[in-house]
Amino acid sequence: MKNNDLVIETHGLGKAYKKVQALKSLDLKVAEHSIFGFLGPNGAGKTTAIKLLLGLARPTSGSGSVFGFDIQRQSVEIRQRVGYLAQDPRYYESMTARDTLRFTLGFFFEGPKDKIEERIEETIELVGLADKADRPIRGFSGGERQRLGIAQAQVNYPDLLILDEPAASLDPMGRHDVLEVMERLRKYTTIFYSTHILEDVQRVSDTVCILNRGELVAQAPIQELLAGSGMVLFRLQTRGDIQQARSLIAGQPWVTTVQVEHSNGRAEWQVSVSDPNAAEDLLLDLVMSSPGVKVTSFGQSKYDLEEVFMTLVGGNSHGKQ
Amino acid sequence: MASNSELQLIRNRGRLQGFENLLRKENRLWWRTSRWWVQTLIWLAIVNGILFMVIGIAPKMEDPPGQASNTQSAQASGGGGDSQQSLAILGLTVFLKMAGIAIAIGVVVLAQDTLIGEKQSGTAAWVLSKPISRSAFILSKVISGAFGILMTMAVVQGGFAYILVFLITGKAFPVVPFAGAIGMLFLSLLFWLTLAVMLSTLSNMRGLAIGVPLFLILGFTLFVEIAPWIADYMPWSLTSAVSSSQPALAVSLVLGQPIPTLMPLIATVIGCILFTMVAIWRFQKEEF
Repeated sequence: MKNNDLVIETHGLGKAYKKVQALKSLDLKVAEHSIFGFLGPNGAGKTTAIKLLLGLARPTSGSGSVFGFDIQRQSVEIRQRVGYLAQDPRYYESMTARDTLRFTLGFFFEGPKDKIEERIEETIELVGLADKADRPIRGFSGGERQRLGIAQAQVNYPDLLILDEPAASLDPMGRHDVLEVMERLRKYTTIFYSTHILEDVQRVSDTVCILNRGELVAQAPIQELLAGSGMVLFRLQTRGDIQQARSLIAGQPWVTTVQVEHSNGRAEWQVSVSDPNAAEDLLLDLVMSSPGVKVTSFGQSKYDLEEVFMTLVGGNSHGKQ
Repeated sequence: MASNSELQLIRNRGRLQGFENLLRKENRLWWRTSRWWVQTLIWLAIVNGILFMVIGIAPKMEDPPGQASNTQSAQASGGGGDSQQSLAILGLTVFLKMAGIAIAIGVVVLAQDTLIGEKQSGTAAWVLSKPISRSAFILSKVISGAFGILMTMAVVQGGFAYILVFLITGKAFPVVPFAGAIGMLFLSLLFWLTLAVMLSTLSNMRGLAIGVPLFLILGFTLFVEIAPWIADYMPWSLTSAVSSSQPALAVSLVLGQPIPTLMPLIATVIGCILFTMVAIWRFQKEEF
């Protein structure tokens, strides 16, 4: 990845609040036009990292840049090209959605008025708030506020969209809509979003970064992360005596682990391999060559993100952010 | 992407980036909501209401029924002019003192809420995620607040008091000095506004942002008794008499009397500037 293709770059970025180290030495690289999933359990430091990128908080160590602008000295220049949706967005309750978008656009553009109004209308349509556009925000539901949040974040045609848990408070339909909007926007902008909904990340992200307790534990394109070393999995279903076959498979140099569970007279195999090509060529033949074993199903199955996430993060990190 | 649209990008305005838009929003909160008329009515009722009671009702109540009023007697004996003049001066003194204390308390309550309220509700963090400078954020609040206070708490109240005094006493103060007196009232209110804004940037405790100015506003007689020199460095003497020998500067101005010292005026201006600068400096360091 060339440096000039990077939208966000941080080096050892850290933030400590009194005695609490919220973020430890974060090295991020976010490429242009990617949908970058910023994953981590609550309290992992995702929101802190986002606030540092936007200049809403100051780092206590390290450095960072967005579009080549320094996050400490040039945060206004950064925010000129960014759209941001906070985790728990708050707006002026007496304003309507239309007023809020007009107010937001007023920080980016000074005219012409008709084009500004056109853009507001277009954005209201995009997020499905047309029938609520002229009502005060104080009467909005959580989902409507989130839609408005997405609207105000992208109304200025941002080159980078930073979304902090954009789908967290939405129902399944709302989540679906948000992901769809993100997919639609990806050809125009880079999307950096934090979430703990792994299913969403797997659906739309191309690059993933996993943060845990303020530390970066993994950063890679999602396919690479899912297929990471030793992480390709083959699943088989067999009938008959598998003792000999199991020993044979476990002895292959390209096999990492073999797990077998029995149910209803069938054996469910999960074979983790380090060389998927060798496994594709040999695994099925080796099992079938064992006397008394009948294979009823066979296929490659990649680990899903949840498995990767749980492996990297562990199960004991559900503190409150 | 933005540069590809037909919209004209905002030019870089450095430390005032976002100021116009923020000021528009703040002014809107003052003038397109109920705030302006609520504030106008509250202070009309309190300050001008008290003024009316002092110069319109109290003198009549002092005269026993069946007897000619003091005012009427004074007029009959040819001394009515002096009596009415005294009543007008009393009205001016009461109005400025009441406005300088009661409205100042209102200003402090409003000012602390404008910033602490935004910090606590999260709207400040949202606005600051847009391309604005933090100095523009503070200045927009101070300037729109100052203008709102000038109009609803100084000009309207002063104008109403002027008319009230004229209708009751038949005496009209010279307009330009009276406008100067209203300017002094405004300046003292601005002092409390900027002090409350500054305190709101130093802490999120409403008690502190309200308590300190209130202590200074209400305790001024005590402070002046302990250390009379302190009156030269505070806005108290602009609208209130700090001793029997020193009337309020604003009253002296209207009556054409020599102004004993300009120090409180200068100190108040310096205070306003200093508090605003400290507020901006502190707000730059605030984290959200």
